[in-house]
Amino acid sequence: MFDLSSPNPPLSPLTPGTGKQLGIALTTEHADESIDQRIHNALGEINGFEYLLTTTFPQFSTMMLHVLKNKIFDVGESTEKVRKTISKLKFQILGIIDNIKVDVEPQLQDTQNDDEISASDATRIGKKFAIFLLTTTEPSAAVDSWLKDSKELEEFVTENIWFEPMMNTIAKELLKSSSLGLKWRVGIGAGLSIMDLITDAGVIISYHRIGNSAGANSLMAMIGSSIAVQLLTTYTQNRKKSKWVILRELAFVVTFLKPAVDAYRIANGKEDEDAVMSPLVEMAMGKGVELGLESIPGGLLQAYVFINSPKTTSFLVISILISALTTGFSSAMISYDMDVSVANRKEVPLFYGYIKDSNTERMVTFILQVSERVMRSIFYREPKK
Amino acid sequence: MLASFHNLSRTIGTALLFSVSKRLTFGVIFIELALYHLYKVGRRDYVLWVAGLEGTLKYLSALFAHCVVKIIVDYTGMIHARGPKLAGGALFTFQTIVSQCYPFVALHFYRKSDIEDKTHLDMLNTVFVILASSWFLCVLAFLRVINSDFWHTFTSTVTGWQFTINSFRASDDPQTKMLTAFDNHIR
Repeated sequence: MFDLSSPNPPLSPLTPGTGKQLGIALTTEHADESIDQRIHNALGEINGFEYLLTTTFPQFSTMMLHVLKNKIFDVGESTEKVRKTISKLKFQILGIIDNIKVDVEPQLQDTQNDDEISASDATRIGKKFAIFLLTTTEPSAAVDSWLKDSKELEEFVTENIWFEPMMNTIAKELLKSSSLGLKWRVGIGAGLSIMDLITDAGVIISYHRIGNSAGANSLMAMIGSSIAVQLLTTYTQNRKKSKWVILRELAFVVTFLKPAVDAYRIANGKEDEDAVMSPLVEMAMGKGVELGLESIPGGLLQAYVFINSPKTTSFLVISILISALTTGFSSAMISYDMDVSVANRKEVPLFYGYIKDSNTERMVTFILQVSERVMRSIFYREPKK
Repeated sequence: MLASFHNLSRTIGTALLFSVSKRLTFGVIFIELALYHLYKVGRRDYVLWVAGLEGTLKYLSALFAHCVVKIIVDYTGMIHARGPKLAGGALFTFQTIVSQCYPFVALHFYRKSDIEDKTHLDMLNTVFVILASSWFLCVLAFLRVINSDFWHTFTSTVTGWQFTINSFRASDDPQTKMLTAFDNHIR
């Protein structure tokens, strides 16, 4: 792919362009190839690159192995740890019973430089990348926070300008391929929107059934006004584009697929020169309008009808709770995504940055604001190839 | 969690007040909105900082955006809305505290009203206390885990234009300075 020894190498390994290509090579899966082999092959394609890393960052491959695994909970690794601990305990208990001294495993001699990143540090740094990827909508924001949280990498990143673009490419690709990444982000965007639509439709039908046509009409008016304003903002956003593109974008609004499309574009890092707002601001505005004109007044109406209606059903209670949860989720997501955005933090550092870059605090803030994603992460397993 | 607790408290509170008197509820909502707009106008902080908006459109969009922001802060306590170009830190905190008191005031009116077959009053009171306590604990935990350098953004009285000037002065990056001066989108 790249050859430094040739007179005119296609790209120097020290350019951001090379970093992007290396990122693609590291995330392109081939049949019957393990992640280890993939890293070895990708690095080996640049002449002298592996040697360069041996002198600057010997544990680079170890770190990348865990980055590319993209696992929050490594089930296999945890099982192995438990098995080893049980086995050790068993020997210790047997040792006590037999009054035999237990051999303690000699500690490994640490022969490396103080400045060098150890294998355990490289593993830790590589592993925590998955959490940053999970808790961030924009791939570049995940990389930025991960680098800020990994002080050990500071010098390496400053000296190697190819590294950050490589990580940005990897983050994008991991988001696309991971079941926890792009697929569920788009899925949750579409899912919430459709669930909201279904419960709203159910509430309208039940209002008609109990003879509350004023309530049903009010709810329909709220949904209608929200769609009308979203159509207007979508048209303004795309007014410089062709009529077919405008029609397509308007169709996304009418079919309630807009949140899913917005989530896809942000996670993909899409940049559009002809658009008035960035995809992140567009998504925040769309959600804000939906909250202000549909979700909040709709929830209020449902609570009012529930309190005053002589016939109340459990469906109405569930609908109110779903409404409160989805409203809270949308509100928290806007705040969270806007704050961790790299562009926002760079442009307005006086306001953006309240969410800490460290792994634990970021996760707790995330749980306090948004609990739903975390629940999904508990059930996460590596996607089956 | 924060936003959901906040939303449930305020929604049920408003619904209760609405049950007591539609006129009273609309009156309270209207007065709250009017005071919010007056506060913004009085501080010369009304028009939004959207590049390219001029004339009547600038004022109409500001009217619409402030109404939406007010509703969102009241009913979800969206943290992002504390931005100086939206509600502003001090007003944001004031509104969220008012929203937490709202259901108890509504319950008081509901208790005093002559409505027959009232929903269980004690149960409602318990629900409101649980929601308010959970919200308060979440706020404490939230303040504990966020970067303390940004605590002041929850009490700041800086206006949108003051914030723009501060951002311009605080930055050493030419690109950021240019964006601050010429690309004032909603923040």
